[in-house]
Amino acid sequence: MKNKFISPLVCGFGASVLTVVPGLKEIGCCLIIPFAAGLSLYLYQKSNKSTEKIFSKQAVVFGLLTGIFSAVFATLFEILFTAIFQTNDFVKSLPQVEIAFKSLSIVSQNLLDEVFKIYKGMAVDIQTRGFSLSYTIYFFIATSFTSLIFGLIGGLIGMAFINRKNKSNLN
Amino acid sequence: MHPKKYLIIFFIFICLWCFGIISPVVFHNVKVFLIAKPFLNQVYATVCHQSPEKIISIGGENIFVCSRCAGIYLGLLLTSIISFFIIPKNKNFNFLLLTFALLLLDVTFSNFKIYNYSKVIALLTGLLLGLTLLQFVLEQLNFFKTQSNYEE
Repeated sequence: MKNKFISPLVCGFGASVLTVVPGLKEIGCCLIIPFAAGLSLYLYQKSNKSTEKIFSKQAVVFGLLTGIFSAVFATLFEILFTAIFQTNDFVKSLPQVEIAFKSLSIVSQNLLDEVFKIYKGMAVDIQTRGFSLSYTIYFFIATSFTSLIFGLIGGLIGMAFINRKNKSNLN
Repeated sequence: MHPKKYLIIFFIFICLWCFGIISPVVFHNVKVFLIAKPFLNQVYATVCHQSPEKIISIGGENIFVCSRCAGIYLGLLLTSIISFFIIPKNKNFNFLLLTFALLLLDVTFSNFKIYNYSKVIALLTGLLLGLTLLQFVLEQLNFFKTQSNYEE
């Protein structure tokens, strides 16, 4: 049996390239991470020359692994591009949020104002140093949330598809 | 797990997900939401390119995903509701391939400027794929429930 981490690692890397790298992310879509998770299961079976039934547990593990690897690589790419350009989508969108935020209420809401200060601190760090630890954590949490869910769904769909294909080949 | 349980879990997820997509429209003047908006935007950015010219606006507020992705999610939501009443029995793989081919053609033609990007076409091709995708998945799950000739 070959290492079960290799195919989720490769597919997760591929998915992160298509979701984060400028230029390539224009073709990014909600189908990429589920497709990568299904593909990782398929590649694992291919590399082991196996036609055994895939169980839900295995599909879930592969889906989650692909999702987490995708999130890790996406975060690494984001750190790299943020360091190069010293800006990103978050920094660009913040002024609009600030305008809307200030226009809504005259009464100060301490907690919300504090959170907004953290956002501004992140933007300042990115623009001056090209890196913000808070933004990196924020980005990783946001990305892994979606990647894990979509990876899980992709793993289960991949399981259904591969099992059916294997069964058809056996008959 | 019984396929109906998959469907219920999926239905809850897709309802929350679709509500999240339109949340900028629903909560456009809520201050708490403005704080959460950049985070939610990043959550949806993982699965959609969010190009401003391809995003649907409702009442002047942009939703979180592009027309094509909105179509796919809407299709999945509609199919999950329909699937509670009608259980798919036919093999829908050909329909799935057809709708996927339509979507790919639209992506190719609009990216290579054979015709200009249209939000309506993108929404419709996405909707068709969403409608057939869940049908296909449920059909696959039902297949394993009803056929026990696979050696465990």
